[in-house]
Amino acid sequence: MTDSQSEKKPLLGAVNEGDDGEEEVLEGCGGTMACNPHRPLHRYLVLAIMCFLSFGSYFCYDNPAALQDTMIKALDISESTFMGFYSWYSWPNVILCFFGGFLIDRVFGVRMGAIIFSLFVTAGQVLFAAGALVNHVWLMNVGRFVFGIGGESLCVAQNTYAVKWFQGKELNMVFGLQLSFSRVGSTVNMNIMQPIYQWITGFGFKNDYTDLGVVLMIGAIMCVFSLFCALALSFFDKRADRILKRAAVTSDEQIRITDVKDFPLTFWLLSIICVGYYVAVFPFIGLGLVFFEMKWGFEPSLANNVNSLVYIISAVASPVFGFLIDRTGRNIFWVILGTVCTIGCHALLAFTFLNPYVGMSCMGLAYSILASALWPIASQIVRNSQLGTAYGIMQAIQNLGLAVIAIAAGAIVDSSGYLILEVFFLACLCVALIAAVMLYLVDASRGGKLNRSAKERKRLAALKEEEEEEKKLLD
Amino acid sequence: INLHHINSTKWRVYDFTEFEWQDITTWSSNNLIVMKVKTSGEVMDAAFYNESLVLQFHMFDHSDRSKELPHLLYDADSTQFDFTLQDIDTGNYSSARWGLETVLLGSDKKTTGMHIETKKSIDDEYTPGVFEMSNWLTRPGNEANGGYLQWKPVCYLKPGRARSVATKVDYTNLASTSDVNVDTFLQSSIMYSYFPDIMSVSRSATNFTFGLESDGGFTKTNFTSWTAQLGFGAPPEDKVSSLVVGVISAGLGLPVILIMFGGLFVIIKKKTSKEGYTDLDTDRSNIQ
Repeated sequence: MTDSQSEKKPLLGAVNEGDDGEEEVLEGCGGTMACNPHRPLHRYLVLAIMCFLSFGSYFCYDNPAALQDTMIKALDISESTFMGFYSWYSWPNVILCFFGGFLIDRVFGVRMGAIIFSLFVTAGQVLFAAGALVNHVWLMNVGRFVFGIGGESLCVAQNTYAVKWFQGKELNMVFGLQLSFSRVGSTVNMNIMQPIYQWITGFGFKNDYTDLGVVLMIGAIMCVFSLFCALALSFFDKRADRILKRAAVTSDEQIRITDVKDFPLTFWLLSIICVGYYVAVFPFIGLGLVFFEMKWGFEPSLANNVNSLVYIISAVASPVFGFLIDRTGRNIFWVILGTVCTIGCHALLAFTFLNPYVGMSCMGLAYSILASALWPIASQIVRNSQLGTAYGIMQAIQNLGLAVIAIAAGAIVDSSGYLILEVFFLACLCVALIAAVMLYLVDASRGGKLNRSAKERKRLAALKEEEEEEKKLLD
Repeated sequence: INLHHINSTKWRVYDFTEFEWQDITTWSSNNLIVMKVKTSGEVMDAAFYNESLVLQFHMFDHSDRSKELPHLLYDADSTQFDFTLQDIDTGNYSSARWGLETVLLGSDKKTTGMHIETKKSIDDEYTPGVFEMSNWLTRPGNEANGGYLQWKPVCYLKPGRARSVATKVDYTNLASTSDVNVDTFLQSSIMYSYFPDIMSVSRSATNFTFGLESDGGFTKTNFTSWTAQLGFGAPPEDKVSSLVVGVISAGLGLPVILIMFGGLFVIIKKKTSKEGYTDLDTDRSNIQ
């Protein structure tokens, strides 16, 4: 600071003028409540765009499932080739989303990263559709692979965006809402793809696979919509950064890939909870249909209803619970609650003949609780500049767990039956529970930062703001 | 079939009295009897040819569990049989299903009623995906001195039996043989040579049907195989194996113990290290 500058600055300045430089004056449309980044309404509008960011990817991810019989017939493929469409998505993502997260942190930044991965998603779906149009399965597999590169890393970008805009505010609800949208996207896909296919067949294309290709191209339109959302988000984010003067990553905060090994123990415990929990829910739903048909003698359509209860309930309940968790804080307790609840549900389904509606409904609620409470914890553990890498790691480990356990679960049920399978899932949940309890203990011994109630967090945030204001004044 | 007048489905009824069987001794041995059909009577332009229907009977002289799914438990008093349908040309019927009309005879007087008892269990370790076992008892109150037909409600749609190719076997309620018009068949069946007074012994009939709503029917794989067990005495019961008990107690007991000890540890630690006063400075240092 030069002498002339220090003399011009008042010694006892008002707090408002502590900001360096002038406040940007927002004019016209930019000054309205909806477009003013200082106002919550703008945040919520951006939230809407954020939720649709990965809508296209969730919609197209389950296209094969919605069109299963059609695909097998039109392309004349076997069941295992069909399952390959999913394997080509999952297995590469065991490693790729870690690099995706790292690239977001280090190279692209979240804005560019979201756009790039959105492009991958769109390109992948177009390739997938093109492969169907010309009846080349290898091209479809390539398409799914490219789609996968984009899809999972796009989720990482979405998580990073969420933390950036909503940390300290409604973060839990935002994660819950994003989960909702993923389910909505999948459900919309399941319900409209078949009717659209029937409509396309009416156009009289020569081959079944041409019809299929056209339908999948329509799916690609959803991805283009998401791409526009990515572009819009990038615009709004850049603008908000400028107006709110959010600190950019300075050069002395160099991010290296080796930083990963410095992630605290709490982060790895969080990852274990994530894996242990998700592998006990999704593979179970994958095998649940026959379980409900055989053990309770349900009709296949009724069994389908019960099986999708978890998805339906979580679509509605996640934002609600997220809002609740925002109000009360204490995320780790919520995580423990969700895990214990799910243990109870699996025990009910395994050891009793109680109507599975009870067990599956509770599981849906418990899953909503856990999903809304778990992911925001990561934002408290790692620095904001490493958040992409952190979420990338969590998702990579989750994908690896899901892929491996899905195969293991199939093998277990074929050789030893559903009771042993349920016991296996209970054991996974117990691992998650132990990790959650350990997370609480480790965190409590380090000051209890992760399990603060919402009131404490607000108080500390206010204290921190005051400190920063004082620092600026003293400079 | 006569009892359940169903008009919307087309029926073809194959009568065992018109079946010709291949030479039993070709595939049979001391503890195995194999009956393969050579040809059957024609019903509506189609018939069974060449091994399309196979009945295999296994006899035992000891107690053990069968090595093939559904892994039924047998003893010296029981005989297991496999009923297999394969490679049948169903002609115009593109989605066909099969049923088997069965009569069980006992050596009691006609008035003794029979009963099918179905037990449910949470344990499906021996037959993955099947949680029921059914016993058709000739002497319902006095099982130890009666006969039984035991089966699990599962049949398999491929020769390589596995859960993925399993589907359901259903049965209709027991009906008296006069109600379903099978008394005439009984007098010309092989049972007549064993029960000359066949019209005055206890007997009842049912239909076993193979398949579930959306499994594609018999015509999808052109193969169905069902195993059941006939015997004397109390039907063998499946018990939860020690392996399952072991896995459950290890898988759940261990974590519960860990959590309990962890909880105790935390409580003890809190009691012994009471600090009480948290410095304002240390409080601030927790701020990120």
